[in-house]
Amino acid sequence: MCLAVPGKITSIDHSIEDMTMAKVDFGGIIKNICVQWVDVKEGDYILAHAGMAISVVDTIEAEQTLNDLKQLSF
Amino acid sequence: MKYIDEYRNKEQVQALIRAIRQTVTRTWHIMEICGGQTHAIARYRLEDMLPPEIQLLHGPGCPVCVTPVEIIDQALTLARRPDVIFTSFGDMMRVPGSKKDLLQVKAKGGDIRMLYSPLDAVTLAEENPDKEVVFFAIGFETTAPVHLMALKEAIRKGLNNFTLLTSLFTVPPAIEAILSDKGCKVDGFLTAGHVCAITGNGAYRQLAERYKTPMVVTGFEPVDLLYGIYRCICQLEAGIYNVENAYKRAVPEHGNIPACILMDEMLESCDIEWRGIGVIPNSGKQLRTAFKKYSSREKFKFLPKEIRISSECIAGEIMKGRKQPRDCPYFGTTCHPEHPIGAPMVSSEGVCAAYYKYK
Amino acid sequence: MNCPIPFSDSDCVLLSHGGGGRMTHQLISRIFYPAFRNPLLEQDHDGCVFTVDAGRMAYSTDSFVVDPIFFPGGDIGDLAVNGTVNDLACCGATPLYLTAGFILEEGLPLKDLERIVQSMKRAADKAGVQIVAGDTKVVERGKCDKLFINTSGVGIVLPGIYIAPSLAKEGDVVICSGAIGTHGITILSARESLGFETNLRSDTASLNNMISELFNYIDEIHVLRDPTRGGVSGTLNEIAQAANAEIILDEASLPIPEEVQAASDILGLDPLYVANEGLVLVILPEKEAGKALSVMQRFAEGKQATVIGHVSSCGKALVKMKTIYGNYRVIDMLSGEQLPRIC
Repeated sequence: MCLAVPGKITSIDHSIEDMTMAKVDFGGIIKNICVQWVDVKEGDYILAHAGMAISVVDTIEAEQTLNDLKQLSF
Repeated sequence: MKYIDEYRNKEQVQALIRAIRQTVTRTWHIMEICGGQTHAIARYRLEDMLPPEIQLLHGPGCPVCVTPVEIIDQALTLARRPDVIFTSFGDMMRVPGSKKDLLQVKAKGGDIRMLYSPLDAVTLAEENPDKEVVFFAIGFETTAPVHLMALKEAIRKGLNNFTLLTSLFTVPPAIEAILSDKGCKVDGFLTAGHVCAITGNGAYRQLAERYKTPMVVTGFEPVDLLYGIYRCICQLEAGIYNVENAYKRAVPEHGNIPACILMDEMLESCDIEWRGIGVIPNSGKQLRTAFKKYSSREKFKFLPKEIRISSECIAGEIMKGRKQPRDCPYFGTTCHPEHPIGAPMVSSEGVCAAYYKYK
Repeated sequence: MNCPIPFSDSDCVLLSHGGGGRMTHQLISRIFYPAFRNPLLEQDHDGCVFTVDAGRMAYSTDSFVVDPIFFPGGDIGDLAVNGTVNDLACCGATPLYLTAGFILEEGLPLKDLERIVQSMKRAADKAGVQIVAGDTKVVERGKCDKLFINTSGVGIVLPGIYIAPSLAKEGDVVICSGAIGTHGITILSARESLGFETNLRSDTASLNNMISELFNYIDEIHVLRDPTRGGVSGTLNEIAQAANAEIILDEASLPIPEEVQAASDILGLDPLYVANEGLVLVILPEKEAGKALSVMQRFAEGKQATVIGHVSSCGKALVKMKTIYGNYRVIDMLSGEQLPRIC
């Protein structure tokens, strides 16, 4: 139901109150995304849906999942 | 792209398929809730790779598909008004109401704009103070708070020409409706990762416990989907029924708290009709009284209409997991994307359309 | 000349520019003639008369309504020239002459028109074609969007060249001349409602020089098609139907740039259905593929040329794709325009 794509924050703009915006790089496509709901800094990856960052990509968990998958080694 | 490519990786997909083959001992019916997941399963032909014991059933999590005809007709009525700029995601443009769709109304002169984000509609309202800007606020829990963010912004800017035509659904009541159905065949669920990214996993724990059915929070790429299926099979084979998170990089246990607070503040539960399924009590969301004046339905009074719903197709049965698209006599014959009879043929993530497109 | 109203100081197109009087003449003599000047155009006649050798000719027409009219990598002007040049080249023809019909919206800045006409001139020069006749009409504001251009063209098909979609055969391979989807995604990026920044540029380019070089080196070419509207998949479906053949694409070999894939992921689009304007699909026997690739790769437009699939059998019109996982999925024709989705 909900297309959400991971992208990397390249800059953050705090100038509007309650509407923190960020420039987010999705594989060479740069879009303005609202990051009001997430605690982020430059370089973090977020998941964007319809112009909002709905979550921060947890890089440790991402690594862990890939490691778990390697353990499957059937 | 980082965090996508790794999850489309061929070796990883093959390893998971092997793992699933070696784990499964009997037939299991697993339902993916979300239309985005259905679309990915069809697009990557994951079912061709799975052992025959794994039967995937395709759930009702496509807001485009389940938005009732009555609300589409309201959208069309608003879009026809010369004083309205009607804004919508591209998804809704081709969905038929009782007679027409938004593209046809646009062709006849309706000012209809396709937007990527409801936040862009606020800008449009600001730039067009002499017009009423309506955003077609469809969606599940992932999208609902984005609409609310836009509304908050419109209120902050003091705009009086911005309203939402809401068609908002929530997942847990739908899962409960499916599980409490007598003919329910579903053994386990893949829950919609991006919904859980907002709501967290709490509501699913009660459901898993009450109906003794495992639920695995699952992402949208092939590796994510197969990992979700694998974890679900592991539980089923072991006879346990937990909520398990197979999409941890995106879904924290408690979800997105600011978004949940926003929903609590501005929305209340309501009954809503799911196209093809019927009314599910308390499964919808609508603006609370304090925000009603920003509801398009309040601002533009609609006359109640007699809606004739096509009863020819088996969409409801399919979305409840009782039947597959190929069981429908109309599938691919009288019902196809140019002439959809039922809702799931309408949106590209509707199960019938996904099956038709990728056959 | 006693007219008190000076007719030359408007900085935008007026209805009277299409009236057939002095203003029309002024527009033609100041903007169109200086750019397109050639002896055939300067016959100053209702049409253009020219001599050709006896033989087969190709004739094609295309209309251009792109919004926005200026975009990274090109504009509606070079698009209009390249489009018809490529259609002729894909018929196996050497393009010679084009006509250009302009529908202008009143209020269009003359400097925009001039810029577009200049870019048509450059595109025509590069392709080696002449614009030999034209027409201009002006419509009231709102009756068209800035400007629409129609180009029609003729070309000569050399003896021995037979190109048609119906000629695709079992054992042929499908070569794609370059990156898929850049034009369509660039246009989307330039639209305000979906706005995003990218370094992508439209691939608009004339392909006739590269195609004519292919004819110099390759004896047997069956099909040439430029996958514009409807994208690679729409074009391959048309070929599959014309030839009653099954075409199998190899997903792993598709030249889809990261930015195109990323924008497609964000907007819920499939790059195979996205429009291209400087791309050609070449279908020829497998034994010719290596030579064809080395010829194409000598041209800027063909630098990334690669084999993307093959014609597997005849008797059933179908396009399938072998996915990176090794299974097959049908690549159908779209029922309408591909719309961005959020779900």
